[in-house]
Amino acid sequence: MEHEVEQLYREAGRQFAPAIARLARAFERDAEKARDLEQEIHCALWTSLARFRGECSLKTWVYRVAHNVAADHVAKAVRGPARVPLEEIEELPGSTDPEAEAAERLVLQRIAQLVRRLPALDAQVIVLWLEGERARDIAEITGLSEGAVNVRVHRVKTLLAGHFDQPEQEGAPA
Amino acid sequence: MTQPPFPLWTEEAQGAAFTDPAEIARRADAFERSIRRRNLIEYAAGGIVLFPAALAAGAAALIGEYAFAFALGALAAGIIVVLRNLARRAANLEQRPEEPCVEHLERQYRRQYEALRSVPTWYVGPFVPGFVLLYGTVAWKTAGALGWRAAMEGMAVPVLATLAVGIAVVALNRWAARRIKRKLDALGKLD
Repeated sequence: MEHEVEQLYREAGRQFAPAIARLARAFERDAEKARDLEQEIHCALWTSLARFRGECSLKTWVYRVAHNVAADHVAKAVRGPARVPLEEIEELPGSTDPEAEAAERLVLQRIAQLVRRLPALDAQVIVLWLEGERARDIAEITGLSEGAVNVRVHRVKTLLAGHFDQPEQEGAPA
Repeated sequence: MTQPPFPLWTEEAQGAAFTDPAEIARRADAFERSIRRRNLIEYAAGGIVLFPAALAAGAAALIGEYAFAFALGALAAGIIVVLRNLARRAANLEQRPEEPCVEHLERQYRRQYEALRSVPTWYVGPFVPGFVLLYGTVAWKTAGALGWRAAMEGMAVPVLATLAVGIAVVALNRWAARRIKRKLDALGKLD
């Protein structure tokens, strides 16, 4: 049994380790705490894989564990600014340098800021969208309906379009 | 999977790897040690509260003040019940992070909501018999020596202060429970 768990764990690591690292960095600004969160996710995954019976794909399982552990981490963290639902956010968190706004890296930094301001479910949808996941997969991972996922992704695209020249074809969820 | 909207996002952390299973086992051991340490500290803190009440009950019994001994014993029993309730609630935390995120959030919110809402039963309630008996005994003893009017006047401040603290604890927890209930209701409307 332990051998199977280890095999699954290694397979999950091979496929998803970078995505989990990005997720941890998106949810936790502090680099050291982000690393701790990443390891906390690895531990939760290792423990949970003993219960994996293939009812869903390994990807769904890994993302569910990762996002739920990250949401618990955020809930336990020292209270930061109040969380504001996506539909109430009119613009991306501000930047004082209009010229630099053109740079994609800055866009990503601002999206990461946005993620940290959102309630857990909104943040989870955004991070999965950034990973290029389809609405159907995001819905399976989060437990939201596809419609609810699409509404959130559309809202983020609108936010982005308001501030950046965002090509229309990018990352449209199916 | 679709084309990621920002290729730079998915280019980040490409060298990341999962923690080695041996390291996970080490971390799990360290985690269990820290839990044991935390439990010991909590028991010690509980003992600090419990010890004076039990000691006073024993001392009262030794000098023949059985009513006081009974009241202080009831207070000590209340402390034990609350400590046990706290430990039971901590132990009942079921970890199932593989469930869909909405269900996970709902479970967490519901657990917090029910714990906060039921504070009168499992946190405040066990102290009530001890305090009622203690204040009743003090009032009865004072009335025997100085009359009921003096007893009532003397007891008014401590009784009202205790009531105020109890009501404040319940009200604050109810307020926090209502906030969590709103989050729970919002989750129910997501679809």
